[in-house]
Amino acid sequence: MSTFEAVIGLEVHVELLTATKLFCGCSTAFGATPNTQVCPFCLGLPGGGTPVLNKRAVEYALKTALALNCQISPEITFDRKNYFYADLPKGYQTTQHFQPLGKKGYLTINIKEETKRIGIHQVHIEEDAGKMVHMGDILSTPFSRVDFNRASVPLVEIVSEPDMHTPEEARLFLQKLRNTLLYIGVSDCKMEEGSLRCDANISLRPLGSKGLGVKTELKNMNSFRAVYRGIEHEIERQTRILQEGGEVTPQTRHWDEETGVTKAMRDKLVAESYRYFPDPTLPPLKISEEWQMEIRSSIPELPDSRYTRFIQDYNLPSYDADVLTASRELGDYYERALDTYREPKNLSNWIMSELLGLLNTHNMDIVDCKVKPHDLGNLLKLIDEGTISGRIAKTVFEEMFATGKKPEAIIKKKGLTQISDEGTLLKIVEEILADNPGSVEDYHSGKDRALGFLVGQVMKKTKGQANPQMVNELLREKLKK
Amino acid sequence: MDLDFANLMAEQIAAAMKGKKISPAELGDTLFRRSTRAQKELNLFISFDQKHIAGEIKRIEQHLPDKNCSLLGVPLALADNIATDDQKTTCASRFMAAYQPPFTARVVSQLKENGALLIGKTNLEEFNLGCSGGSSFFNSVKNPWDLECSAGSGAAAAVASGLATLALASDTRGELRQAASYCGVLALKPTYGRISRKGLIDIASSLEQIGILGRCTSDLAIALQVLAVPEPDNPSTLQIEAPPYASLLEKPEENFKIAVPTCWNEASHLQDEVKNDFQEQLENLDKLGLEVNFVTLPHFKDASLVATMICAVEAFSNLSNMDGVRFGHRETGKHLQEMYIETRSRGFSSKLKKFITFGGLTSTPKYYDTFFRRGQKLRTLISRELESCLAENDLLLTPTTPFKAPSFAAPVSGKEFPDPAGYYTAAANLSGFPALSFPLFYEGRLPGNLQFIAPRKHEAALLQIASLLEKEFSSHRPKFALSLQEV
Amino acid sequence: MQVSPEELNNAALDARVELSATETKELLREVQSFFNLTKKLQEVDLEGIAATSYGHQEPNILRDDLIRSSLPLEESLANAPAVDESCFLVPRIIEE
Repeated sequence: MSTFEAVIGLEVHVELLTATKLFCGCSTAFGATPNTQVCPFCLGLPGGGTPVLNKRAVEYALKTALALNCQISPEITFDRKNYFYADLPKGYQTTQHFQPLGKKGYLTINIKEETKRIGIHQVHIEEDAGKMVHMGDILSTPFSRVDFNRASVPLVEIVSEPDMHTPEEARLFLQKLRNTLLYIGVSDCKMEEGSLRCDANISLRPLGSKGLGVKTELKNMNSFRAVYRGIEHEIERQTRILQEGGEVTPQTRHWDEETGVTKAMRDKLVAESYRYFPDPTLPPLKISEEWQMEIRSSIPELPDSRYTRFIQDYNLPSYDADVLTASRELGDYYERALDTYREPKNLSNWIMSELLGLLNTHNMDIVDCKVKPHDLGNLLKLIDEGTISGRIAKTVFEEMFATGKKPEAIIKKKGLTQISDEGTLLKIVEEILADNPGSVEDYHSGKDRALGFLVGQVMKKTKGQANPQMVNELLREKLKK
Repeated sequence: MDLDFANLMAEQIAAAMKGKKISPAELGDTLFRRSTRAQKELNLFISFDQKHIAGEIKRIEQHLPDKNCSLLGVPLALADNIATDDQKTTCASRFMAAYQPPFTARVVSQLKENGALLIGKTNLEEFNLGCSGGSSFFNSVKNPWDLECSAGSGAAAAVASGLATLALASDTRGELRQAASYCGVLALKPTYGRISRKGLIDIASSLEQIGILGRCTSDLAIALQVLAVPEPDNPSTLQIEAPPYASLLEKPEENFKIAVPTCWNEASHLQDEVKNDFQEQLENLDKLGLEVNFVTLPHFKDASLVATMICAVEAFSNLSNMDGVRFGHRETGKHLQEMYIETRSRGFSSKLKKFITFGGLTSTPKYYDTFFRRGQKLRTLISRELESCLAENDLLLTPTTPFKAPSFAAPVSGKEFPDPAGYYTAAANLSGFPALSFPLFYEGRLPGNLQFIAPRKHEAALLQIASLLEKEFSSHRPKFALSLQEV
Repeated sequence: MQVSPEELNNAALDARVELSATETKELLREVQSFFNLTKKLQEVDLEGIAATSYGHQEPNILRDDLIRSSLPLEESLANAPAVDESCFLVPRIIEE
């Protein structure tokens, strides 16, 4: 049996976070009553006016292309992609075919301790189509309803080079892309609302070969998991076909999340070509050096350089740096807490285990977290100063997480301050020793475990507030006698 | 009525309205009576009715105190591919027969704000595709000079018959000017983008421009002044202020250098009558002391072919919104794509179906480079030829059409690509240059015509030469084509 | 250049119109005559000549990202042949 290598390229559509559509002033807000965010232009009414480009959409797309290390065209054009479909009001989609905004970029992914560069073929601006709602199943529906609120919402399409070879690489690329877009703030990248959509081109070739096999285009993957599973399934399907000596049919296939298989979509009346030609109603647009500079300067530190900086400046392990830079907000949170509490690794441990643990349990995002970075820093300071124990700190943190209160206030109100007064502790230690003669005997007969029991008893008596280190020392001292 | 608006220039009508020498109510009644009669004779309207005219009169009465209305009470006809929110806009297509836009074209608002009175929406070829007849869902328009001949468009017929003082219609490969030449009226196609295209239902966006029809130069100048106002936020209009056209006409430039392309007599279907008339006019211009030079423009003769290559592909795309989903006619179909085919096959005329199929063919990968792309490059070449010619000359002169109004019995053209009527006109659409068609009148014969093309943004030169010729030819000016004055 | 009836019918299908046999025949003749007329144009040297795609040479204009009012729902739907309370209705997408 021959061994095959998969060749995977992704086409990612991302809705830009503008207030208005690409060519008209209609709102892009999600979730409005159907067909209430449309005008004669985006509804494709005859005589409905000419397109007027949204400046912010171009700026966001430019920001995207720059963040993805693309070469920027000094002049861009818009072209019509002509085809008939119910969600396409004008009978063509305005996109960029001949002179796209960005070309030849890349993103890096970290896989198996290695950094791999995935090429970006191009980044371009285009308009979205409307949305169709089927009456029940698409196969049995007698008619469909069409909502044009989404028609002409600005998108950037990011086309990768076919540089990926496993579902995991595809997933990592998509995650890195999403993370980058969130860092630069051009999209909310919500796959479930369709503001980030991913199609995959997949083909197989004999391992070691440089050529490209027949590809299929995989659509309808609505989550990261679906992207992984869909690609995995399609590779398996193609492998089976080739191993049985068959040929892969070039076609568009849909991922079916429920059944976990890909299905061919039949559409007999697909145009033989899209007849791309320059849109006569949109003159070319110059992208000046000055404009590029201005946009470039508005790009914040991106995940890659932040990752490197976290390792170099804070001495963090690469795992920690990876987790902490996985979103811009988390990285920002970490660095703000660091302003208060200057122990990078301790802080990282706390964020990764306690904070992310609670966020995960409550299915929340860092932006929803009530604990202010400054307060988390102070909490950790209180541990280091011996005011509270690490164990108490966890209880305090839970309350901070639930209420957003300051650690000092919680500690004060609940009287959780650590008992470090030698006189007080000595009295309690003596009481415990008197109450547990058996354990004292055990200790003297060489059973070290007995010490642990006695420490536990002191802690229990003090509701955990006793300074554990001092309790230990006092017990050993008393037991010597 | 003491004064008949049909005998007056726009400026005189506005003055008479302001001086209460014309009563709005009477004007409305007369217009409706004459429109009814003209419609019966010529089939020039798609939409006009008494209620709308009454509404217009009411609106104008409210305008009366406003002394700045340069077009107060001036009757206006509007081609039915320019959107109005109070009247259907059908583009003379069955598909569009019930279409009621929820907006009004900017040009219409501009003229109305200046007091113009919109009589109604006029007939045209379906989506203004040529003016050789045969595709309007509402049948052909008859020529007021000869009912056996085509008028080319309802807008031109409305102006020629004295019904409308001004009309607006669009010009893709010369339709506005061709119809003007068939009907003996003036037509001005301004520089591409000089007048807003907002609200125009265009078949070929890069070629098509709204233009003005009228009976005298001063009327065109006033209308152009009102319309040529830059529209910020619209990349398809020119962001430049227009010069004061009316005052430029008062002191006309008289030393025009005029170029005539040597290929002027190579048009297919060139009628001897047109040829002789043109030669005679060249002598007249010489007598007037104007410098006339013959120039070689190697690709001027290909303009119509090239414009057709481009127009067909743009039409294929521009009309793709006509799918029976959001507006328009709809046939039933077992599924979506079948519904499209049924709807469009029955909604469009045979001529239009063939034209967009032609555009679909020439934009497939097989023909894209050799036809559409090549056409776009030839367009550059033709524009450059015109540019360099008009860098040394003020105006380019040709006939407007190679033939006079074609008769219904023996149409000169119709089914062929390209329409031979566009031989002289298409170059101005390809280059975006302004052009003007000037009517010539003869005793007992159909009107003839001259076409002038000026460099981009130089509409003033066109108005000045027209004004000059108007003075020379004033004695030849005949009565109206159709006797509506007694109606 | 020779055009086949199949090519024409495919182009018609892409334009979502159906041509009758007569129309196909007429169009075939018209297209062929057009192709013949453009023979000389196919020989013109266009090396280095840019294509013109627009009606003027002015630069594009950008718009600020400010919301303008949309159409009221009833106006959006007013011209449509088939609607429900808020959507346009189309026949089933899938064939057969």
